[in-house]
Amino acid sequence: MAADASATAAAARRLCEHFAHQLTPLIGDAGVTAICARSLHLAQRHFPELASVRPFNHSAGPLAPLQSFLEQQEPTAATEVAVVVLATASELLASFIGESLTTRLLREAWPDDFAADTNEETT
Amino acid sequence: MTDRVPIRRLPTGVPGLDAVLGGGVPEFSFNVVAGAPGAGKTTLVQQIMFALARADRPALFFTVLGEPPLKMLRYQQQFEFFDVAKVNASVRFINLAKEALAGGLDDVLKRIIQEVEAASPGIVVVDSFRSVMQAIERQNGSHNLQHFIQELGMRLTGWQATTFLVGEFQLAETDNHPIFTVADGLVWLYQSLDRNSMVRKMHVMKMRGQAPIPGLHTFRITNHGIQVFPRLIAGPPETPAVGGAGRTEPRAPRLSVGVTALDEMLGGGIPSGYSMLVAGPSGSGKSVLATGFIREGVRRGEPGVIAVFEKRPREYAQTNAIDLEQGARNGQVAIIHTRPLDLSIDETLHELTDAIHRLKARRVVIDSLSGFELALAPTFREDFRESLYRLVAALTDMGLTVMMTAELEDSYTDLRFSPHGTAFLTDAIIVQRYVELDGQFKRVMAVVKVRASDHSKDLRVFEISADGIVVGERIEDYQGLLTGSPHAVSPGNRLTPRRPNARRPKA
Repeated sequence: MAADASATAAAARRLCEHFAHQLTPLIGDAGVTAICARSLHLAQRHFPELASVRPFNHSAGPLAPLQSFLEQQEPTAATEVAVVVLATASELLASFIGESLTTRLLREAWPDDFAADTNEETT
Repeated sequence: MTDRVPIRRLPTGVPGLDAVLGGGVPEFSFNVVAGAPGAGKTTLVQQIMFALARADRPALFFTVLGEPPLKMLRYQQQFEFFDVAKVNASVRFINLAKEALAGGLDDVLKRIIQEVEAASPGIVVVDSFRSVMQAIERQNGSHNLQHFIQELGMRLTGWQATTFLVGEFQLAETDNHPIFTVADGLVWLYQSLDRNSMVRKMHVMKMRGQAPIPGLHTFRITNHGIQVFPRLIAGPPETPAVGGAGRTEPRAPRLSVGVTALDEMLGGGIPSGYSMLVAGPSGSGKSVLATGFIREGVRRGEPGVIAVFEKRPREYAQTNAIDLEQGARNGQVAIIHTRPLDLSIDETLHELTDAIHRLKARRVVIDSLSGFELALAPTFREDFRESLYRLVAALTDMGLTVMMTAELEDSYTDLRFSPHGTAFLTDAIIVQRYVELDGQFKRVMAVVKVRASDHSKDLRVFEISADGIVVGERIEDYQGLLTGSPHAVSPGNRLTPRRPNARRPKA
């Protein structure tokens, strides 16, 4: 179970890192932090326990507290939380800079996931 | 043989700007785009960047501490020039807020150089450079600022990048900031407020290696981006032969104005390339004459452009009972109804020349000067006469024959031809007046001037019929018509407009 949770957290961490890595040069730390904070807040509708996750002023980046939180969850719950938070962040980003630009940026952040989606669509 | 290095000029993709800059942006130049908040600086540099960026000439856009990049991306992509497909391909946005806040001068310079050396961009933008400078000044003082700018300028130019530094500078700073000395190009943007109107203006203070058009140029920002209207340069020093003055060339061909008798009064029509003023009180028939001038041109295969400043185009065509709409559909007539109340002369000329080139027009009507003056932003009304002079000069220099109408208050104590003091600008003047004869209001018309040409001195009555203007006989039996108190000089004769067999003169 712990190994599963750890693997899930690692996968979520990777997605978060790629998300932040892609966006930070573009919109800065402040921009990524703002997106994360709002996404965590919105995701609290589904997971009230996210209220304890504070993305501000964290030396390892705004998504580090979320990664720590995920490592403490059951694998299924961790996956659900990660999916909801990242999906919320993506939607939020799209609401600011448009779907087209967001898709373009996230395709570069998560190329494997977009490739998987494309494969699924074509099969 | 010349050993001079050729300077390539890059087309900016901003309509009108290349002309203002003197042919485009010099390649590898180090430029400053300055102005107050909201002046259009970021829009201008992004429009240039997206136009120039391509796979073999990528662009780097460094954001620092000005407008948050998230918002900048949100708002700038509303413009049509913002090509999402170029983002992270030929255009990369890089945020330097962290370096500016934490490391200051050295980190900012290091990061810029590092990114530039990695990407070899053809275009580099730093927005806002003002915030970089403020951070540097706080930390290191002006000596290091000068060193920083010198270093940045050399490194970016050395790396073959054409650079734009965007900043909210004050005009007073141009005296003591090293950036203005180092910069090859300096473009200043303004928002000029006058009463309730705002007009955007641009001034190219310098552009090394080429000759920008001096003075202030108006520009607009629409969803297409920025469009610049280069200031007309015309006047006695540059164009001594404006408006036909001093013409020594062989006799210019004459154009019919569409009324046979009036052509005769003009000495055989209006000389091609002349400007003509038709002045008269409200309802006297100025627009009828002006549209008849255009219709006659269409009939002779000479397309025309009408700039309407009082009525809407459809109403205008209907009011004047001529088939202008048909002409417009056939591509022989363009009716321009420009956005009122905040125009500049240069923008009006741009719209006119656009239509003139499209139609290969030979005739232009401006109806009326009074409406035109009202349509201008207040800041330009003060210089209306000078501006009009430049406009007329530009049009006639293009070989066009221009007819303008002017509303003239009927005064029997003051014989004037234009309320704008513009009569002297034109080559020919036709004046229309109301007079009272035999208990009726009558319209009378006279040709006051046709430069370097004989013309009739008759004062003739005229009527407006369904077909246009019908000129009658010379009024021989009265004197003092223009004083408002005519008296008969020989009894018995009654004035009846003679209807000529054909209104049009022989070709």
